[in-house]
Amino acid sequence: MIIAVASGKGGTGKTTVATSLARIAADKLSTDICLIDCDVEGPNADIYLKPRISGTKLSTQPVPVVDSEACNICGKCAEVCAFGAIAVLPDRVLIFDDLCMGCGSCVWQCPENALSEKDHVLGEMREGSTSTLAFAQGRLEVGRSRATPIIRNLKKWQIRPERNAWYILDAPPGSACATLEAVRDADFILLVAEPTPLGLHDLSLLVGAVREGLGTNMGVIINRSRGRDGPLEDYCLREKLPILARIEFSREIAAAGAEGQALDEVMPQIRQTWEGLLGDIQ
Amino acid sequence: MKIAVACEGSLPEDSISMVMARCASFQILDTESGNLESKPNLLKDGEHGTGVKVAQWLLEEGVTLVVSGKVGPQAQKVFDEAGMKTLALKDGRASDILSKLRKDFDS
Ligand code: SF4
Ligand code: SF4
Repeated sequence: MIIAVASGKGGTGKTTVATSLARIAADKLSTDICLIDCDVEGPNADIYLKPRISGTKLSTQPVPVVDSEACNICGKCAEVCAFGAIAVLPDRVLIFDDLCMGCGSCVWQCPENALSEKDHVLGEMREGSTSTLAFAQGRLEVGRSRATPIIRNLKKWQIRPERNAWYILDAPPGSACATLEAVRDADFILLVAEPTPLGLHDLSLLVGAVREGLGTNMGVIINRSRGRDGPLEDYCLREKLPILARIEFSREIAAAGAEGQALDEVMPQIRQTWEGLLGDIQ
Repeated sequence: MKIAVACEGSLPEDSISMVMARCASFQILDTESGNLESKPNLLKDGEHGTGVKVAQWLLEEGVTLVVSGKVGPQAQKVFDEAGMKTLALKDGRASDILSKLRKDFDS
């Protein structure tokens, strides 16, 4: 079972929900629980879970390098690259490591055999555990702009059928490639949203992207609920999105979050909500 | 020299495009011959690396000055490394921009 926790924008409390849900799931369910922090541009689930890290691994991708002695500036590599990662200038070849998808076409097709592959570091992945659950996290290397490949690598590393675990994924905020990569093979997506106009707007973008690309079942958790969340509730009704939980607005929760306390520590009554939700998903 | 103005439509009377790689066409003026060409930007709806692809195309067209609202960082790198110049303008019609630039270069 893979449950992804996502939100249309940052700062909605997505990580607070994911980490607390994982803690309760580990208590209640007999299967192993693994929380995977896929928010590689700003990973922070470790702050709430305080895991002991037992291993790290570099996430890499092959990118071409050119042997300028062998290259005769024929232009073939730029022509075959579907990702615009190569420009052939009058006197040399320019390779954009960050745009390269590692498909290898240019290396194959260079008539002069002037291209070879080297490993380009995308970021670092870590794994570890708390006393009750397994934990993994990816972190994008500073200066890298593409989060998708490291999320793919992180999931491939951690999600293995023989593990027979439940995975709870903390997806990057937004509705672009990186978010969709994180939620791609989830069985269920929990959407954390705030009852503000901007929150609703970003939520609708994410819902649209998931429906168009993946068709996964989704449900909404309203964070900082003020009891009556009119437009957001209307939207959920219209889009047939079940509202699975409401977390009311409270200063204590915000303060506890800033100190890295898990949501169920400050708000013990949330345990029941999570248990019900896990039962429903099961 | 060859000046390319990124344009919102397909005609010289259309206004300058704010995003170089996503423009509808380039109005390309050869200042020596006075020849003006309109080249549709067939790459504009691409998903990946559009800036670099468009920059490569303009380089192959022999363009030496690229005028648009804004150039993305990767395309800018290609222009810089290839010794091509860029000029950022906020508004104006391609035809007006080209005649003004032409005057500047003639004088
Ligand atoms: S295809 Fe090979 S020889 Fe041709 S420009 Fe690219 S690297 Fe150089
Ligand atoms: S490996 Fe593929 S994506 Fe990367 S530069 Fe070569 S052709 Fe482009």
